[in-house]
Amino acid sequence: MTSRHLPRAAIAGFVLAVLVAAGVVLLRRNASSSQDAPPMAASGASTRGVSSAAPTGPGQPAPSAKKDGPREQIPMPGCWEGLLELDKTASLDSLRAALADAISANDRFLAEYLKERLTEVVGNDAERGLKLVEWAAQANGPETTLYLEALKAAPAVRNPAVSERLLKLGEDKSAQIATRAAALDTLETQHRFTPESIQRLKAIAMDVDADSAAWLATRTMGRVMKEDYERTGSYASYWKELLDIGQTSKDLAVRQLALEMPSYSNPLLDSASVDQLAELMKTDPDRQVREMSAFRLARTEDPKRALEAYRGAFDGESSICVRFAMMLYALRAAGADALPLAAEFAKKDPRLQQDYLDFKELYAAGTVDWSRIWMNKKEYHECVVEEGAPHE
Amino acid sequence: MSTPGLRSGAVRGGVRRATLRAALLALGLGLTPGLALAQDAAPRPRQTACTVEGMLEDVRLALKEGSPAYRRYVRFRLKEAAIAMSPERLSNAVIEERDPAVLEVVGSALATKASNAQTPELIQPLLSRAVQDAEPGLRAAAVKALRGAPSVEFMAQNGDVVTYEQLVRDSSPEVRRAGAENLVSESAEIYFGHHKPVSEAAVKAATATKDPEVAARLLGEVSMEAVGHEAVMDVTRQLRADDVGVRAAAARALGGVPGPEAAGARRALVELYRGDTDPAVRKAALESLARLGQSSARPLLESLRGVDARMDPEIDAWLGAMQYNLQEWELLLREKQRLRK
Repeated sequence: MTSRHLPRAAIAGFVLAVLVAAGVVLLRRNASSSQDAPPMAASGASTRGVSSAAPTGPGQPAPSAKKDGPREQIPMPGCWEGLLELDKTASLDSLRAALADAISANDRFLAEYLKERLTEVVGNDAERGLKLVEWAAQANGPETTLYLEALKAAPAVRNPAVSERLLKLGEDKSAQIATRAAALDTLETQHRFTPESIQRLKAIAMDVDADSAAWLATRTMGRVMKEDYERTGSYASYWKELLDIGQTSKDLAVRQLALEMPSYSNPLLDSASVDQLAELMKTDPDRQVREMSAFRLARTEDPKRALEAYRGAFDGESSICVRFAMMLYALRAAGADALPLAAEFAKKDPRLQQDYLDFKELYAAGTVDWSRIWMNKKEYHECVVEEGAPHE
Repeated sequence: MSTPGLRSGAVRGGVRRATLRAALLALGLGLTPGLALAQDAAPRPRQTACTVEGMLEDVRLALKEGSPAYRRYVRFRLKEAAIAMSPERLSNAVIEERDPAVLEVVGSALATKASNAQTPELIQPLLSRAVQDAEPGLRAAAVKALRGAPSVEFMAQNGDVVTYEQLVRDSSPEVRRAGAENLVSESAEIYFGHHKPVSEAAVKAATATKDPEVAARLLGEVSMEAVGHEAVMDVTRQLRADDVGVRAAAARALGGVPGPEAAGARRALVELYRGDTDPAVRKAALESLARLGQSSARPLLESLRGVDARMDPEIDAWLGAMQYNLQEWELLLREKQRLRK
């Protein structure tokens, strides 16, 4: 699935995910950072010397003529003396101290390195993993995220004691919401969740006071569903709860996300889901939920019933975006076999006439893969948010 | 509802400057690298000014002695710094470097600067070293340094004085492999398979090389989604290659050609399936026939049953995967692989 294939809400969720993942701590360089930085040493980034041996072949250093001449300073922060030594002798505590310096200096590259080095140092050691959780629980702001992102990438995160501690932190109503959210985010690299863990995550997702922690609980459930599905083919126990969240949560963003999450693993949803999704598509007051339900219906074990659901909901739908989604996803469900239904939609709503003609032409040209059909489809309705665009 | 990202902000705790290390050193105890050392003994990095020389030195030492995380860090930091470095200084560093690993990192920073500033002429030192350096490791490093940049476009903008057709004919397998890897990654990671010039450059390179491994890699892994008719003909001719791997890769490539080319590709693949007795080639032909038709390929696949009894379970797996009428190739392939790898 490419970004262009996602409806607005799906892409919005994806953008959020990317922002969360890539944002790390959103440390930004700014003018004040250099003012706050410790006084700079004379010139070189390091006091180490370059070998003076003349280059004679591969493996030899470059000519060292420049080293004794004037050194060109680069107008950027971010050079540190003693990093290699820190790297070689790394411990959790030494990295923690350096991380504080990196954050203080707003050096996001250094912070990212230290996070990755923490991951290497934690490795598969559960005690070290638990120590990071405790530091994260006590910290504020970017440090919390960095400790937990370091842990998320380490194998120790899948140690039962560590994952249980993270889930408890995610549930802890006395903790800051941001800390709870970060703990739940850290759980997304689990390979599977037990039914009990799924229920605990669902309870957070349904908690109206949990704010971003509810959103993260939902996303983590969906991401582990993807992992479990890819490893074992299992998705039903997760999807059952996600569908329930999508139907009953009081938080619209959580509902949309719950329905979006299967997009990343694309399981063929069972026939039992078709009726529930069809009902949501037909009756939900929120346009994006209806659109997302149409999206989900395209990937079930029973594409014929999905086509019937689109046909049954089309007349009662007022949004052009949802109507277009019904046409688009009918084609995703059944390919060129759905062109007659698309023609029917275009006849009922002339705004979709050109879409129908475009699709017909693309299929007639010999393309069968829906991904390529959609990639080459012109857009007329401003219903698709391209990747990177602001989300609602 | 708030975004679940976490707030930026600088929070730092006071950490004492370590003094134990000095004390230990004074006692002649030294420090053993690794994780068991006393926590307070850790060296404390100190911020300093950035210089070109210092950063290159950091790269050199990191590649020799640093952890994987540290090696990534110095690479990223140099790329970031390259934007602010003078082009001459960076070009000179590329021209003078003698260590292949360092050349790749410095060259990559230069290529990043060229991309960022939209100045393709900046990569000329890399192109020059890629074809002229006497040492194969250095030539390969110069080629690898182009990875991540729009190298096919940049080569064209430099007059195609150096092309991938040329690089995959290098006497060194390391250089040839580096060229193939560049095209594969450029197609997939920069253009997501949609870029005609990169795909066609890959086909030309596959046709030009005498290295069957490189040809198979290019044909098997570069997207054919956007290629034109001539390139499709070139791929079709590779169905008669001597090497089994190249024939199988060409068969797989034909499955990905644009819709208007599908009919011709289908005919060539059916002929291949019937005439080529190698199981790997036949398996690839079946896969591409399934891809070209997806659900509508059922009758054709049925008609091929019995041509080679060893292949019938493969046909059954494709037909089984088609029962859900999946309309996306990636999903159809996934479901088929669930049934039979």
